Amino acid sequence: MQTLLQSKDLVVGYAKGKAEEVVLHRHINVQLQRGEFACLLGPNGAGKSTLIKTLSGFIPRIEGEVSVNGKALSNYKKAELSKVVSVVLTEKLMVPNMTVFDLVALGRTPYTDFFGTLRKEDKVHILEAINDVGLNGFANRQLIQMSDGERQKAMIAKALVQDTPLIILDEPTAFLDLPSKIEIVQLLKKLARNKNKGILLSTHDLDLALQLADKIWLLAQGRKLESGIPEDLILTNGFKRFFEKEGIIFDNESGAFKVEREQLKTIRVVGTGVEYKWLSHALNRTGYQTTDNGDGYPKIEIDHKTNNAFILHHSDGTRHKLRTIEDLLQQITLD
Amino acid sequence: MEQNRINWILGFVLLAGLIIALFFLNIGFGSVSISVKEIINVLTGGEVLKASNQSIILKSRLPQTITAMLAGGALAVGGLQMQTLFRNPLAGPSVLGISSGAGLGVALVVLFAGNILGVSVSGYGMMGHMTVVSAAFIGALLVLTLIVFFAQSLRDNTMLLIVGIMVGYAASAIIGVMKFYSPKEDVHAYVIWGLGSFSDVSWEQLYLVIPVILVGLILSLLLIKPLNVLVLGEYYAENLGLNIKRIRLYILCTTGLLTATVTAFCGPIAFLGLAVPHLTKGLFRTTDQKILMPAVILAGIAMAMFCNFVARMPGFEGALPINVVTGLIGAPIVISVIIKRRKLNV
Repeated sequence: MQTLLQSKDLVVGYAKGKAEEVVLHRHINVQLQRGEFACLLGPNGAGKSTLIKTLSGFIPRIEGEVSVNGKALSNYKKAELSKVVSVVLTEKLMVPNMTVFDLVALGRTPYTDFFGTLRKEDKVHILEAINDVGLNGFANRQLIQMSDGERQKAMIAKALVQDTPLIILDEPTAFLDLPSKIEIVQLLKKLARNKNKGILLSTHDLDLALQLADKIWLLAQGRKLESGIPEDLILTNGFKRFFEKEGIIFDNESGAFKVEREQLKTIRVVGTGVEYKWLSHALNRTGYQTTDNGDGYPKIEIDHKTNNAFILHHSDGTRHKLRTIEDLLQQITLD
Repeated sequence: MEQNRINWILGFVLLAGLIIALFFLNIGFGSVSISVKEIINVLTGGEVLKASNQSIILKSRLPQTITAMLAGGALAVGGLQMQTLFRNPLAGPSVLGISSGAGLGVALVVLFAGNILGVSVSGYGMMGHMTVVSAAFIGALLVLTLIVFFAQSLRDNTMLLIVGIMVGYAASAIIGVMKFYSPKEDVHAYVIWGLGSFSDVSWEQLYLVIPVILVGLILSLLLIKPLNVLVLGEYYAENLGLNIKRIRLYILCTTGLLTATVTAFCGPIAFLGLAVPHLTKGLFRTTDQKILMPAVILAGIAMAMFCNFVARMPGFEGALPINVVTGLIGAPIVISVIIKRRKLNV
């Protein structure tokens, strides 16, 4: 199988003035296959956008090679490239009077005649794409009357009707709320699989990328890009190295960030289940270390029989029965 | 979809009707009223009741009306292109600084020549007028060249917009200096030019203006597809296969040609180019340039004829300059658009 997108010792950056070039990253060697959903992860200012713009053909590479379907990106003519790579950007598109259909129809531009007339099969294609992104019945809806998430879905439909094997998205979820983010990323994963497209998404949403990406590309300032499947990157401490900052550590066990804090006291917690998990969470958050063995006091017992109450055992043997974690935390701080 | 199509057809019928009605109003009204029947007779070469009517229509009102139509269509389509290219609802054909360039050319001839060389162009009649037209056209083209030069090196449209506006300011500043050192009569002559007029264009000049404007309008129609894509912004447009720099050059040159020609012959006509596209978008409720562009041309023709008619209403007797009327009609339109846009964003 031919690799869809491949870079070889790619150097990216941007031109500053006439002669000067600012190099952001060197030795970028990545590849993306058809049907694969990759996430480019990195903090703000890492150069994600520059890399994305280089791969989509907006800005020229500085050195090295990028090829799509085995052909160097720089050898594509603009018109040819529009049938190979489609993009979705962060930008909010507020065009009065424009409907979803109008917007998605623009994706057919590379295939329409001199005046951009839509043929019957174009229209079928457009309506199909609108359904594919879950905007059934929205074809005649005005863009300005839709939510940000719905607008980005329409943009994805535009990318779909452009009929390109490769879709590149530059932080399309940056200004969306969490449910919309999850929806969009899930949709992209599904499209990559069902439509056999290579999809590259740049984001700083670690959680989503970990759960849904087939491949993750890690990019941070002054480091070589690392790529691999999420699990390997965790086991080889890839994430740990990339996201290490003072006071923040990447917990390989949970696959999430942990804020380092001074732990005040150790509290013994006895119990099981979801109550146990969130009680520990609350105690950790407020600065207590939790343990489930030893005889230390104070001790908190979760009473699963009676309404899931929390029983606090003080060192002097007295007990407090509390209904919510909030009450419990208050009681502990009083002691 | 079907509902839209019906609205569009109704819109075009409405505009066509307006144009026909305004045409007869423009020719028929004035210090001497002429009946519709008489107008038709004069235009078709039939039996004319009064010889003076024939002379009024053919020598004065018909060329004036045709000039207004050409100017309206040209400026409106220029405004539509600028608003689309810059994705800015307040852009118009004048944002490129072209009318300021034309003003600078005229100022050089009217003020500078009058002041330093002791030649009063305003005293030379027809020849003087042609000199003013040439100066305005050359000034406009020089600014256009400058803008095109910048367009080649600037990627960002917003930067280009700022350059255009700055060039306009610079030209106005130079004009200001010249005004300051010029005698009253010459300054007055320049002010009169700045208020605009559809009545100074002769048949001989129209033979020149008509083909140039028609070429500009046809070139605009050829830009329908790229303009449609530009609505999405430069990056999306480029990704859809558009050669941004080349298309931008075509758009700048087309709008530049139209604006330069109109400004040279009629003076800097304000607001038409900015207001008409908004009015049309409100009426047709579409972003498709295939519908919008012809509609904007027709609406521009109608609006310019309406302004010309108001300026020549009985009582004003041609005393009201065209820019006063376009401004008074254009300003409320722009304000209403801004308020409406704010409502939509809430």
